[in-house]
This record gives sequence, C-alpha cells and structure tokens, in this order.
Amino acid sequence: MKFNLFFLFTLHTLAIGSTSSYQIENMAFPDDMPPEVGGLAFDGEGNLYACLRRGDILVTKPGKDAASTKWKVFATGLHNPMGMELIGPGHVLVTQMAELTEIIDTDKDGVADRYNNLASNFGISGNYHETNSICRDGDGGYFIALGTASHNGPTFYTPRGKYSKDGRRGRNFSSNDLRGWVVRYHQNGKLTPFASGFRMHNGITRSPDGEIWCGDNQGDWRGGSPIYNVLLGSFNGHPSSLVWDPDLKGFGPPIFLPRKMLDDLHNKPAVQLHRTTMNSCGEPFIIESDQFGPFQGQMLVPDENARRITRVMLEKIDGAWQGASTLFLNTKELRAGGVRIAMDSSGKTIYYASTTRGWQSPDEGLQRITFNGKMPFHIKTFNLTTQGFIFDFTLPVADPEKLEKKLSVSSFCYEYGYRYGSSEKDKKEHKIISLTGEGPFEIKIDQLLPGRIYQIEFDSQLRSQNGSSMEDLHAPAKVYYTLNRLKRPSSEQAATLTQSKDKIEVKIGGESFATYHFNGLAQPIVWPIQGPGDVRMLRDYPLKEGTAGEAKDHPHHRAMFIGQQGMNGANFWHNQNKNAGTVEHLKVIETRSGQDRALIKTLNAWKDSGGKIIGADTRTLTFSGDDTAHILDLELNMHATNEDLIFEEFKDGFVGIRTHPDLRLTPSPKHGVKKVYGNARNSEGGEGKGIWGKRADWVHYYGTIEGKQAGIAFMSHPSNLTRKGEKSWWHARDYGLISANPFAPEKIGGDGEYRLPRGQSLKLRYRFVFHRGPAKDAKIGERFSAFAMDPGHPTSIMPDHPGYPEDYLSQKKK
Amino acid sequence: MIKSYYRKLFFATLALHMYSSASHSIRAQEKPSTVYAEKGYLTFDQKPLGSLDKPLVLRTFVPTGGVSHKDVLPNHSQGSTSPKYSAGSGKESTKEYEPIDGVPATIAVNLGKTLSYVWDTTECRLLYAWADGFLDMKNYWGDRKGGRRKGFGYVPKLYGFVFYKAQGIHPLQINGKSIAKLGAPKYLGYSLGKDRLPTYDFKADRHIVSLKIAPGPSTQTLRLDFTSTAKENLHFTSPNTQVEEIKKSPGRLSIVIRPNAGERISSEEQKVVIKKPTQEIGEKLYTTLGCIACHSLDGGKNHGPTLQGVYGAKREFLSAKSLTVDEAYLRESIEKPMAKTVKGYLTGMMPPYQLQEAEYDSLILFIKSVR
Repeated sequence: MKFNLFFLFTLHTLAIGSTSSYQIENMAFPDDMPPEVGGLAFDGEGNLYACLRRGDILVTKPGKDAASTKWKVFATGLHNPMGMELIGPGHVLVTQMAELTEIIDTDKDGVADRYNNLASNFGISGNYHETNSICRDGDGGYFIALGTASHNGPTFYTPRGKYSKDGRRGRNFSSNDLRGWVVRYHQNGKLTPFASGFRMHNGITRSPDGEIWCGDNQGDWRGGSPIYNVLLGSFNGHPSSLVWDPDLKGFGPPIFLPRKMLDDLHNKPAVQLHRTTMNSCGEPFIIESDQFGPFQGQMLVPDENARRITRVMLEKIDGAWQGASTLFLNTKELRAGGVRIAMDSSGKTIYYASTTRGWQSPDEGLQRITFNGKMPFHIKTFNLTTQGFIFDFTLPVADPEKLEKKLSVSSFCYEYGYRYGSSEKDKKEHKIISLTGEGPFEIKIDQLLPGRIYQIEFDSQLRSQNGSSMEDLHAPAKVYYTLNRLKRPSSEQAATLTQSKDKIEVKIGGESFATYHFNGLAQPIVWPIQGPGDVRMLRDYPLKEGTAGEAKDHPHHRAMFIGQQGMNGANFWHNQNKNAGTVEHLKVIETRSGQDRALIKTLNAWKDSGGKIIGADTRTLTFSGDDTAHILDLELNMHATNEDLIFEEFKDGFVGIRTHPDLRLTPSPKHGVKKVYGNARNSEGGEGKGIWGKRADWVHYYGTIEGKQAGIAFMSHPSNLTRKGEKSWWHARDYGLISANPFAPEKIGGDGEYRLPRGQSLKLRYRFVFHRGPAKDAKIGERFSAFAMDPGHPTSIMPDHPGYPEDYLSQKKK
Repeated sequence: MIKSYYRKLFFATLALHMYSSASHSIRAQEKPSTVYAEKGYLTFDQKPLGSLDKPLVLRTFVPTGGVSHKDVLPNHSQGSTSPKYSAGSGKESTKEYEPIDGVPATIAVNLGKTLSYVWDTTECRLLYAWADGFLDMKNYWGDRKGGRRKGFGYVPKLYGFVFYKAQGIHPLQINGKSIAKLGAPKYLGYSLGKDRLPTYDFKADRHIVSLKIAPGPSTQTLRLDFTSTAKENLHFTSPNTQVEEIKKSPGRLSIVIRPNAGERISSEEQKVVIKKPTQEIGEKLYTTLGCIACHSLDGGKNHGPTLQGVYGAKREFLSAKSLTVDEAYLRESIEKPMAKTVKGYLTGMMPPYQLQEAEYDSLILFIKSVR
C-alpha cells in the first residue's frame, strides 16, 4: 500500500538532568502532540514503539541526540491503549479499553493496515478507569490485567459483558465481567480467568524466571502500594472482582464480606511499598542487564503520581516472594506519572514513559535514563535472616565499625479494609542486638514477626569510603522490608504435602502424619492421624470399617471434625439427622510445605439442610513435629457472611476428635471393646471420667496404643471465646470423644448460645499434640505455655476501628 | 426549530444538486485542511477531524444516539442503578447512582465534514451516521493545561447533523435469516484499504462477513459494501429506512442508505452567565469541573484533601505558614492551587481553574456547606 510516510520533527528543546551516575534526557515530541505514553516496547531491531493514550502508536529509532528524535506514526485509532508487546517489526499487540488487538503492517510500508480483535470476551462498563495492560505468558500467550471502574465515574445503561449489581458497589468496583482480574489469553485463542482481587493493576510483567508481577494503585483495600506475585487462582485483596469467582457465589456483595474472611483469602503482596514514599505503582520492570549499574535482577517501579522510581529487592522465603524496597531515583528532573519502562539493547539505558491525564496536572512524555559507569552509592542487597537482616552497599562504607550508630530499625503494620490507604499501625521501635561484618553486614534485632513491615533507616550522613552520598540519587537511605513469612530453620523433619482431587496427605520427615479429606463427605475431616513411630491415633470407623477392636457407636464422630448440633436451625454435628447441614469445601486457599512444617488453608461454606449458605469458615491447619510428637494447629475463623450466625447451646460441639479405642477410659463389651488402656487428665488436675464438663486449658488422653505408649493432648488457646474469660469447656467422654465446646449449655456449666453478627468473624485456635512415650515425658504443660505464647498467624485486621462494614451491617439489624 | 428546518432544506437541496455525481466529486469539494489531515497524528485539538483523503478512525465510547437497546444493542447487558457509596465511612446511602447513556466498544470514523459514522464492535453494526461534525472529545481528553476530564462521564459529545440511525434488529440477512437470529456476532478486526477506510470483518454463526462503509453518491448518504467468504445470499432490510441496492450477487451486496433521521446537535454548551452565586451552583460545579475526582465530601482520603469541615479548619502546608481556612484561601486554592500545598499531599496535582467570579463564589459557598 502506498501511503505518505511522514516524519514528525520534534520541536521541544531538550532538557538534560543528571545524577553523577545516571543521565536523564527528555525524548522530544512535536509541540502539539500529547505525549501521553501508555505503552512502550522495542522490536528487536532497535525501533522503539510508544503508544499514546489518544490512539496513535509512534515508532522511532532512538539516536544519540534525544532532541532530534524523529517519530513516525505506525498505527492509529486505539482507545486508551495502556499495554503493548512487540511480536516483531511492524507487528504489535495492544490492550486497549475494549480488546486485545493485533496490529500488523501487512504490506511492509511502515504503516499498519490490519487490526485483529484477538480477545474481547470480558466486560467493559463505560467507566473511564477500566484500562488494560499485557505481558507474555511464556507459552505463546499473554496475561491481561483488567482494571476496575471508579466511583468517580459512571457506568453505562448498556455495558458490554455480563453485569453484576453486587459488583457495582463500593469505591472501585467490578460491575462487568472479569474486571479486576488477571486473565490469560492462551496461544490457542482461549481466554481464561487467572487471578482476582486487583483494583487497578496498571501494568503487568513477566520476569525472566517466569514469575508474573503486578503493582496496584494506592486506594481502597490497599494499605500501602502493593506489588503482587500473581499466582493462578489467587485473590489479591480488592474484593469487588470476587463477584466473578464461581466459588464465592451465594455470599452477596463481596465488599461486605467479613474483613477477616477476605484477609484470609488474600494472597499477600510480596512487597508493600511505603504509602507516602510511593503513591501508585506503574508497571514493574526487571533489570536483566548488568550494564545498568549494580542492580541487575532487581525490580524498578515507577510512580504514577510523583517524580520517583522505587527499587525492589526480592527473595523467596518459605516458598513465597517477599523483599525490600527503597527509592532508586527521586528527582525533579524526572517527570511525574511514570507508568512504563523499557530497556534498549545496550542494557545501559532505560526509557521511562509517563502519563498523568485524568488524575493530575500534565507532566507527560518519554525520558531516558542512562548509566554512565560511575558506581552510585546505595543499598545493594537486603535479605532476611532468622534473627534480622543481612545487607550490603554498592560501595564500601566509610567507618563500618560505626554503622550501628547510624541506623535505626522500627516496624509497623498496614491495616486491611475499605479505606483509602492505611496509616502505620502498631508501630514498634526495635532494639539492635548486634551488627557484624564489614560488608555484607548482618543485623540482629529483638523481634521479627510476620505480617509486619520493617523500616531500616540510615543516617543521612552515611558516606561511602570514596565520599559518595545517597543524596546523589536523591534517594533517602531508607529500606522497607515486607515480612510476610519468617525464614524457617532448616529441619531434618521436612514436611511434605501431596494433593489429589479429594484429599491432601501430609508427611513429616518421611513419616505419615495426617490426611485432610475435603470432598465427598458432609464436612471436611482429618483422618487418619499418626503419631511418631506410625502410631494410629484416631478411630477408623466410620471412615473405614472392620478395624479390630472398634465400637460402631456415634457414627458422626468422624476422626477429627468440626460442627455444632445447632447453628441457625441446622445440625452440623449429627450428620445423619434430617436437619443436618453440610460444610462444603470451596477452595484450597494455599498450601505450604518444606522445612519444618506443612500448612493447609481452605475456604468452606456452611449450608443448612436446604443448601442455603448460612456462613463460612477459613481454616488453617499447620502440621509440624519432632521425634516425640506430631503437632497439628488449627486456626478456625468462622464468618457470618449472609446473616447473623447463631451458635445454639448444645453439648455436642464444636471441634472434636474420636480417639483410638485403646485410649478409651472404659471398655464397652456390648460394642466389642473388651479391654482399654487409656487414662485422662486435664490442666486443672482433673482425672479420668471427671474431666467431662469441666473447664481447662487442655485435656490429655494417654496410655498404650497397640502396645506402644502414646497419647493425645488437645489444647484450647487462651484467646478463644469463653464466658467471662474462663477456660474452655470440654465435652470429653470416657469412650474417646474429646471436643472443645465454646457453646455448651449454661445449665451444664457451658458458655451458652453465641450470636456472631453479620459481617463479623470469630477466631478459634486449637493445638493437638500426638505424642509417643509416657505422659510425663510429653511435657504437655510446657507445650501449652509455648502455645499460649504463640501469636498465631498474622492478621491485617486491626481492632477498634468503628465504622467498618461489619459494624455497619450488624447495626442495621438492631 | 426554524433553524433546523432551513438546515434540512439546505441539505436536501444540496443532496438534489449532487445526487448523480460520483463520490470523487465530493472529494474535490473538500480540501484536506484539518489539523489531523495535515499532521497525521492526534494533537491537543479536542475536536479532531479527518478528511476524505485522511479518514480519522477513533476507538472510543460514544453516545447511543438514542438507538433502541432491545433491537439495536441486544448483545449489550443492562446496567442498573446502584447505592451511592461513601468512601469515607464505607457505607451506602439510600440515594442511587444512575447509569448514563453510552456504548463502550465502538469505532467512530470521520471523513471531514462529509461523513462521520459509528460502527459498533459488539453488535457488528452501523449505529448512526452524521455530517458536518464529529466528536467533541473534551469530556474525555480534557484541555491541555488541566489534563483532566471535563464532566462526570468520559463520553465525547456528538456534534453535527445526524442523518441516519439504526432501526430494528440487525439489518443484514444471510441466506434469508437476520444476523439477530444467529446468536451474538463476533467482531474479528478491520483492514485499512488504500483509501484508508476500514473494512470490518465479523462472524455471525459460521458466516464470515466483511463490510466497508463509505460516503454515498450524495451528501447524507452511505454506501455499504458487504461480502461473505462462503458466497451466501446477502440482503439488507431495515424499517423506515430507504435502501437502494446497487449490486447483488452471491457473497456480495452493495447498497446506498438514504437519510432516515435529521437532528442537529451542537456540542457547544450555552455559556450561562451567573449573576448570583449559590451553594447549589457550587455543588453542580463540584461535579462538572471534576473536583469530585480528588476531593471527597465525607472525609475520605484521595489525591487531594477532603472538603468535609475544611472551612474554618487549621491547615498545615509543606512550605507555607499554617493558617485557618477562610474564603481567601479557598479562592486561592481554586485559582492558584500551586500557591500552597497541604502537608501530606503532592504538589502540582491540581490544575488551576479560571472561572467566573460568581462560580468561584458558588464553589466557596458549597465548600463552606460541607460539614
């Protein structure tokens, strides 16, 4: 096709700014062209493509002189294109508002003439905020980030794609199909949902090691400015998009789900950028080159609002990515509104695209930042240790022996909720126990807790031996480390998980421990459970019939189980009854294994006999062990999702196990149990049958199982709900049923009925110790003290914040 | 009314005059004098126009033009009202958001004054066509200085003389069956020919159809050329619309559509001079000027400070002396927002607003009322 090719000569004067190590240049554009750069990519032949948000794609071959940049229009007519991948010269993929579009210059005249719609089977509401971005999936396909709509703008009477009234609620919302998701466009042309929970992930990146990364804008449900490692099936914190998750059907508008339930579902950001050091994240960029200064392998994140770029140092801890962030460049010579970064083939220069139209004063264009070979002075590496951190600088630091005096460590949490950002909650100053080394340096501090962000601040007078200051990059000497997971001590008792369709099998140090069954039963259960030395701890019946010596009483006592005889009229204990409810496994939220423990976290729906959802739980089972005991921790969060959840007062509830018949206190000849070898005691000195109906921290059944000395201790955490702060009430029977029941009838000394208002959650924590050897060696008292001190899993829900939806919803009732 | 009558008469006369002339003679009439035609790229111009030689293709939201949801937009879903939400308290009120008019995934094309049309990728159908104008993008693109949208929606305003609107179910019949009966069509893409006009490809059931839309033989007419790869029998029928078949053979159909509508739409809002400032006008300006995007009314945090209780409150600034908020400060903050930056916020986020005196005063009245 013949068509006038025209060059756009640039009229801008060139502004150059610099640090000692990095030169910043403005790539010029014609004065009348709005340089609102939404996407940026090189084609492999040195041509740089830039898509502008009004609809044009420009191309140039950047030369030495940024001021004489010549742009040519390659394509036109796109709607707010914010994502671009180059297939090759003249062959581009773009995500615009309505679709993933393939743009081709078929006749090779330099101007595109074919626009293919590759995917448009997602919703578009008509709201301005729903922009899309793209990255490769490493398998011939692409990931597309579909942003949500904002309540600052309207939606149409006639949107495209399925519409949800429940999704169109709240601040940023997902009124139409798959908004707030990352979807995968497969090589075969199919589009499938991949991960939910995004607010406005403006940019998506695939790192060389195949990981997918998204930032997100600051905003509602974002405490800081998060960077997510995007995992298949994950929920990434912003609730609106959950309306398109079939597993969460029937729970009503997601923004009014109990916050703790959302918190438990949340795949925590690998890194939370500090809220006032970084506003909204542009697209993460991984520095693959070793020519761009000393930061190869690290991530750069431009700021959509301010004139700064953050640098992120990631590491994999306990199976998940987390890490540290600090500012890379923070200078007025940068433009605000950074959204995309691309690197040229020299590896020395990055191109930095910015656009602000729609959210702040114009400050847009394209700049390039070139490393000139002079080593800048800053933090080079920052990693977690078991007691603190190990870090190093890019240059030898002056007076390393005085470094301890030049730094301070503090920590805080970000709160999770509908509010726009979080202040620093629960701030703590930390004591430095020691600082050793001359580079790298190892710092030990008084306390490391997961779920916190650690701030390490160096004195502004810190200098390198050659006199360089961090001020040269205008980047304060401050590091924030997002501690989601502790570094676990390496253990010979490595834990493994094997997941199949219906169950997850857990082994510790190669020995069978337990199997979690989540399909095909009235409720998920744990069975069997083995103590060290392969000792069977629980009754097999009714899960397996024919085991010698077992009584066939109480068929609803199924190994380890959870339920209550009365909840909103349904019976979750006697699952053979007419009004029996069911607990339906909805999804495995996450599993962890390796090192010294395994973990299973699931979401379950509580349904009455008619199948109506009355509530939900998220439960975390943690499996660990040593030579003498296998330990199972249960954190159970009950959520009043759809209505007030009423735990009616019945003796039959709530978390129960049925022991191996050998641990029974009394035989039952009529049921075929002729001889028993069990004893029982509780933390209060009670013994035998007398512990039934008593309050205690723990109960302990012990004796001889199949000829081996062994026992089971069942502990209730002191933080568990009880009346007047008393200890747990125990439904512990001589025939081997042991259950902890916070809702037993008052007339038998229990706590009575409990109403959990809609929108709120109830946390219950229990520990089970399955030990071998005699009772006195099992040190149950000591083990309980350790359990009582254990802070449990971190939470992002801070207490005492009136006005949250859960309060609002429960007040509405009254 | 009278104006529009004369306008119609004028176009009718013009149409008569040019009825038999070929489209290239229209071309000769119009000089490619638009900014876009000369430069070849989109500029800050909020009312871009293409030309016959350099058509402007713009993917954008557009107004529905009043076409029927049931017949013309059946493959769109139905939006609804939703409870208003306070970002500050996390609560919903009994008030509701109303959806607005718009089609989200269209392609708008302009050939200068001769022709503009909107083709929708969801319905795979021409929605409407007009002459003597195109789209005013101000609502969407904002102005060069401010960089923000003007108004609540992001739907550009249509201006010009609308002479065709889609009526009834999808007008194309394939082997005697309307596309409307073949399930949702799938838009495949478009090619730009030598004349830079798009030819759209779409799939209805298993049929693959192409459509090129061009100016007709006279003003306010359209020429549509359909082709189908499997040489199906193609037929075009639409209620209240005069259609002339030019060519028809298996797998081919060329038609000319004559005007079935006549509506002059101006994008220029009447500049109402406000004499007396009122709180109500201020409240309206708060939405239409876009203040709402950054300043909440309920204490909710955003790019800018909330307006709730701001009047009379103590303010601390990044580099200016703290003060108690009064009218003078509010005025300065609207007119010269760079003068002082409230602590905890970024400098340069807010554009300056040049308003009528009474508009400033109305805004200040409104802000004072936000308690």
